Amino acid sequence: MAHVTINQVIKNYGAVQAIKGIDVEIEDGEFVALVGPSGCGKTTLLRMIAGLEDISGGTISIGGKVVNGLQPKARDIAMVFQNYALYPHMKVADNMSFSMQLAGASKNEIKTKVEDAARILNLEPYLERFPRELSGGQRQRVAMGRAIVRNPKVFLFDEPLSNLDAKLRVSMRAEIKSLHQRLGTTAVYVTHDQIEAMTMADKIVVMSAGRIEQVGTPLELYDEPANLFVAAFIGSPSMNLLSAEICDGGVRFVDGTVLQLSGTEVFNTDRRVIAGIRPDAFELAEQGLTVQVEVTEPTGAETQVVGQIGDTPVTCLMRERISGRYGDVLHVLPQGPVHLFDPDTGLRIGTARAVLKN
Amino acid sequence: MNARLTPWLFLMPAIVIYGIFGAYPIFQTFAISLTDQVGVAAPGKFVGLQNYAALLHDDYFLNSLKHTGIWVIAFLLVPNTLAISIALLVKQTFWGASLIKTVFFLPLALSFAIVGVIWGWIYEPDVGLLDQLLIGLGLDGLIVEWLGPDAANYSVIAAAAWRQTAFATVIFLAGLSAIPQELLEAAKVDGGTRRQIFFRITLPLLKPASTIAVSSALIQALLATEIVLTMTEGGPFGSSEVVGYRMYMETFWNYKFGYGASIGVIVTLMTAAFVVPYVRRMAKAQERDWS
Repeated sequence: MAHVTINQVIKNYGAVQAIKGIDVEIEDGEFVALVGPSGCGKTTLLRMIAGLEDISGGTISIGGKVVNGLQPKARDIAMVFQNYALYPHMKVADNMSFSMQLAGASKNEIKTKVEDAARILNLEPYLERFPRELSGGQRQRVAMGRAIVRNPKVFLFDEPLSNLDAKLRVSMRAEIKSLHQRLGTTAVYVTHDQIEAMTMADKIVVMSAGRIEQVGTPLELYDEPANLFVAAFIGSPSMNLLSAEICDGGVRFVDGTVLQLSGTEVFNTDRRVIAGIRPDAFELAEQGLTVQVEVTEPTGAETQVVGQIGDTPVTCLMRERISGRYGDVLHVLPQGPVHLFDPDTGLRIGTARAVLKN
Repeated sequence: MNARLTPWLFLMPAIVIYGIFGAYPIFQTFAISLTDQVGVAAPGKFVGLQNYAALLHDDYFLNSLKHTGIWVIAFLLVPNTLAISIALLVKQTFWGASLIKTVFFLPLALSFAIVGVIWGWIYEPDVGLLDQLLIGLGLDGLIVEWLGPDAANYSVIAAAAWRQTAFATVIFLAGLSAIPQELLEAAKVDGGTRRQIFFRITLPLLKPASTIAVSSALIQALLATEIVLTMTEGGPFGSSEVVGYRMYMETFWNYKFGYGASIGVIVTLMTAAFVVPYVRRMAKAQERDWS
């Protein structure tokens, strides 16, 4: 077990800077998710930790030791790859023990460790099979077994669930999380799926275009997004972002609707803002923001209303069962927090709450 | 349409072509090998296995068989080892890699007969490229009579190996690019040195490519004829005669069609005996690893 320190790390591909000076502190035993859209540099960062990519600038240390110049095998890490990367010509047991064979471990030691890992992962019946004889989920487990057998300081996961079907993904998610809790090994987990990051991680690092947008616990990111990017990226469906300006006692939206809010007093009136409201914060009201309905999608427990407020597309999650059709009009008011962002910098400048009118 | 007939219907064109150009000639060769046919004017009379019995005491044939044996061993080892090394080298992307690839593939554009002519010039005593090169490097001591009685067989093999290496390089390069990069990275993370990764991951996963490269080397070595014709005509003093050349000489030089056909049958059987079990074994392994 070890903590991982990423200090001002840069990655250049020729003239392109893929990672632009990143700092992350990963505590001993922590499960950290690197999350962001395609091309944000999250996989590159993981591969730099693994030693599969050179580090163009800055330092990465594992357990207090700078590993920049070390080969992957000298870093005491294990990696689970997106396509499992199982050796097709080796049986499951050999796949899992390959690293120990290379290190010259004794037959007995190998047998014990493989059997231990197989028991933890319910792979005991499959040890003598070839990878092609396994299902996707089983292959994924073998890939994790290969990592566990090595008893590394850090586990690295590169989108390990993205090749599984939706149902299996949910159960493997829980399995990886419980595995981490049992083993207590530091883990760095790359995903583009914010739900995966939210449900599994102790700490999430949101990245975009080679930079860190925000680092925090899942609920910190959800409740206090640092900027518009994080606000839109975390949470499903995404946060609604509406142009507005500060007015006396609240905000005025583009269509002229005024929303009474507490917590806006500190701002100058007429300042332009972007108001961020989570879909589930909306409730039906007599008066309020006018939503022109496009579709309603009942899921039983709730109804998702997709429509527009003015020209801005919005999504509302309602507990009521609404049967709106295209062209219908609903009035809604936010009951939860309203995040206020600066339209120029994208940074969150405050969070207000609706004043309930009775 | 009858569902049981449909697959046969689709196979028909291939079966017809194989029948006319593959099966029938093989059968016909075997039939002729049992006769004493001379030339093409008239069929010979049936002599049973007499031709085969005669081969056992034919010093020319036994001599060529020994040379073919050297061909097989050299062809299995030299071009394939070289080709894997070259493939590993040019697979790296560096400036000029594609130029180098082209240079290595170029010999493939030449037939063995042409290769024979070109290398004949290269081996020319004193004025040939090889001798000039060695003289230029001050290595005159290494010069031998390349196409003389002692070296001819090996010199011909070297020339043929040059072209075979180009072929095998193409095959191994394709094989290397079929190995997922992730597997090699996983092996790196697992602690493999370059050597360990090559022998325990890369080489086993090159099986589909080696099947093609090795069986091609076997077939080319067993059938080698035209390069011998254009380079040495089997000489001097039979020192570079191989079974394919013997078959050609007996048939088209001495007009002993029946006798030549019996050599052809032997070559066919040797090829089948080497290649079929090998391909079968590799196909099995391939099915295991690549599905």
